[in-house]
Amino acid sequence: ARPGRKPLTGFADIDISGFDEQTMEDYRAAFGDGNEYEWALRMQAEADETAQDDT
Amino acid sequence: DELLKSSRSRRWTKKEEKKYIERGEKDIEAMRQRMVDAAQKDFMARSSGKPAVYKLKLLPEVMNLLGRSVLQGALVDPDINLIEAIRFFLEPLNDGSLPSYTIQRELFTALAKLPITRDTLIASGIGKVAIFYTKTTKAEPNIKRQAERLLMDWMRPILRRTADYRS
Repeated sequence: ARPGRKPLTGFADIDISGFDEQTMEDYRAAFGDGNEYEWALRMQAEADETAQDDT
Repeated sequence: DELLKSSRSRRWTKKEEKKYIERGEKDIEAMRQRMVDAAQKDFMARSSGKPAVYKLKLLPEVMNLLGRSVLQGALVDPDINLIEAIRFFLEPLNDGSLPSYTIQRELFTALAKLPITRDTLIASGIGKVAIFYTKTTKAEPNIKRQAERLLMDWMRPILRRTADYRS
C-alpha cells in the first residue's frame, strides 16, 4: 500500500461474477453487496463536513 | 480444544458433558435474546438523545459466555445464531456513530477465536458489518486490521466450494 493512503480495502468490490450462482448467493448472504451500512458512512461523512464548516 | 475436551471427558462422564452443553445452549439462546433487546434499547436511547449504555452493560456477560470454549460449537451454531446478535452489537447506531471502542475491541477479538463456519456466516451476515469496519474512517486502525483479517479468513469457506470444484 502506498504510504498515507487510506486503509480502505476492496472487500466490497470483489468480483464474484465468475463464480457459480450458489456461491454468489452464499457470498451475498454472508457479506452483502457492500452497501448495507452505506447510510452510516454517509452520516459520518456529513457530520465531518459540518464539523469542518464550524471551524 | 480437543485437549480441553479430552481432559474434560476424563473428569466428566459423557452424560455430564452432554448436560453441560445442553445447559450452555440454553444460556446462549437466552443471551442472544438479551443482546437483541440491549441493541434495541441502545437504538431507542440514541433516538431520544440519551446515551447508549445497554450493550456496554451486558458486554461482560457476553464475553464470559464467549469464553466458554467447550461451547464453541453452540456459540457458532447457525440455528441459535448468537453471531447475528454480535453483528447487532457491532452495527453503527442510528446516528451513524460506532458502538463503544470496548465493544468493538472485545467482540472482534472474540470473533477471531471462534470456529466460524460457512453456515454461520450465511445465517448471521456478520461479514457485512466487518466490511463496514474496513470502510468507516471512525474505527481505530487496529480494529480495521482485525476486521480485514477476519474477512480474509471468512471469504475462504464461502468461495472454497467453487475453487475446490475448479481444481
